[in-house]
Amino acid sequence: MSASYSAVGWNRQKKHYDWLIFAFCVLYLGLFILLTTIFNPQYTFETLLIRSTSTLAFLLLNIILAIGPLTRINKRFLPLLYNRRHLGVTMFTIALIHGGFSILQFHSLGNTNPFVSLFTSNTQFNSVAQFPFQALGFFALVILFLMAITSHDFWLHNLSPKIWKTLHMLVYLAYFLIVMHVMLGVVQYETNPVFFVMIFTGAAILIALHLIAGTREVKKDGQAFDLKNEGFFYVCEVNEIEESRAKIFCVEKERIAVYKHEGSLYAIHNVCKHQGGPLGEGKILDGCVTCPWHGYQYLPQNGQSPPPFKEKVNTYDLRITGTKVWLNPTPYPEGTERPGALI
Amino acid sequence: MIRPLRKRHLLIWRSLAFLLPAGIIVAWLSIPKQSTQTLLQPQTATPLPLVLSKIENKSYSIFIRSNMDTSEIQLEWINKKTLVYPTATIYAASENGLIKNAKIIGRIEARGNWFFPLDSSFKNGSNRKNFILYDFIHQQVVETINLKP
Repeated sequence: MSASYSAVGWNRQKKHYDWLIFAFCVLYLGLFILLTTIFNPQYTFETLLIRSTSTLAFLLLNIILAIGPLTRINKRFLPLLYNRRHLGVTMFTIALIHGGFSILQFHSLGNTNPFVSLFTSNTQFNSVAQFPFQALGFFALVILFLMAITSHDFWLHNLSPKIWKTLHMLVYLAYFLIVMHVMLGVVQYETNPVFFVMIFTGAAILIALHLIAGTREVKKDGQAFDLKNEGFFYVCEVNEIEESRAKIFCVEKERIAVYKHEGSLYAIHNVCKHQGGPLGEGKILDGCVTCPWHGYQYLPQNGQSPPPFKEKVNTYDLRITGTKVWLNPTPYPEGTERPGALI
Repeated sequence: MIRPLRKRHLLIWRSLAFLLPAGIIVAWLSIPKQSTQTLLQPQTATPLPLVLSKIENKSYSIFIRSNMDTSEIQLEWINKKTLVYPTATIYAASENGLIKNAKIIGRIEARGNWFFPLDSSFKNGSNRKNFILYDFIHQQVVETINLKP
């Protein structure tokens, strides 16, 4: 979170993380090229480059798509989410190298425009085995390109979170296109099963993770709070909430985070204004509720970001009777000051 | 995430849980089966004992062989060098015969011994005494071999 835009939002942690990504990519590419040179010395350097970058980009895409559900299943994965955007741009860069060299190798040596050649050299759309799989990879690369160039917060603010999120959810379409690009491409003639194993294992893990995480979220949304008094619902005991942490309750179809901070309880809307992160899974740092996804901050007593920021979320009333915490799910307008409930 | 977004995510992944395996399986099933290559003569062929005629040069040796009662005739073609043309098919033709009238004997592919059964016209006195080595990809006669008894 910063008051002005910078080209790359680096801090100490992100720099460490980026060095780790860089080292992993170099190590992977080096190992891939070395092992292939030993076991398949007949491959040309262009083929090595195309294959090593393709498998690395696909591996990174699988990791990126697994981070979201992993964080919902276990909070220990949250640091990965905080740094996911840099991983995404890295993945796109590697995919671009793969796509660029493929077009150079297979379509740029004739007298036809390489992009025209890409779509006209094979038009067997009615055949599964001969399907023009390169076009699928091209469209996936276009989606990844749009995501990469709009990954900066500048675009998030200017496109609006709704449009931005819709655009970035196209990554699932890109993933499907890439799976079919590999299955209808290299798997059709490559006898080495490594490509098929990569695709199948990756898809199986991702589907399982997303379905498990999604089903858990549905269960959370179905929480029942039967004990009601004057518009307040009994949600938990005071000691169930840790200091400077929150518990999330879905009351009347709305997720609300109840924070404990310096002898009081505060309730704010659970959804961060930045990218919809779960505020209740973060903690209070320097007196501010801090979103676990990208570090956006809000004051617990009024749901406002500290100046000069202007983000605001709804606030709610709480009541404590004995050790019982009661929550009123009727929201106050975003940024409304509420005193909190004294413990 | 807001509730509609959570629902949209779950809907997308429920769809992908069907589409991804379906796509993978269909693509896997459509992988073309590699055809097994069958040799033009049995691999277990052995040379017949009697040599009726032969030709030898640097690249190959040719023997017309027979068994003792000459009921079987056999061509043994020994390739001494690697072929330098993409295809090599042996035809039998009458003297000065053309490829279009020739009878196909078999195809040689690599260095080694190749055996082909011949008909009785190769015993003796027949007019079919030439072999033509033909590259059918380039549609050209590589060599005409005049076989003398």
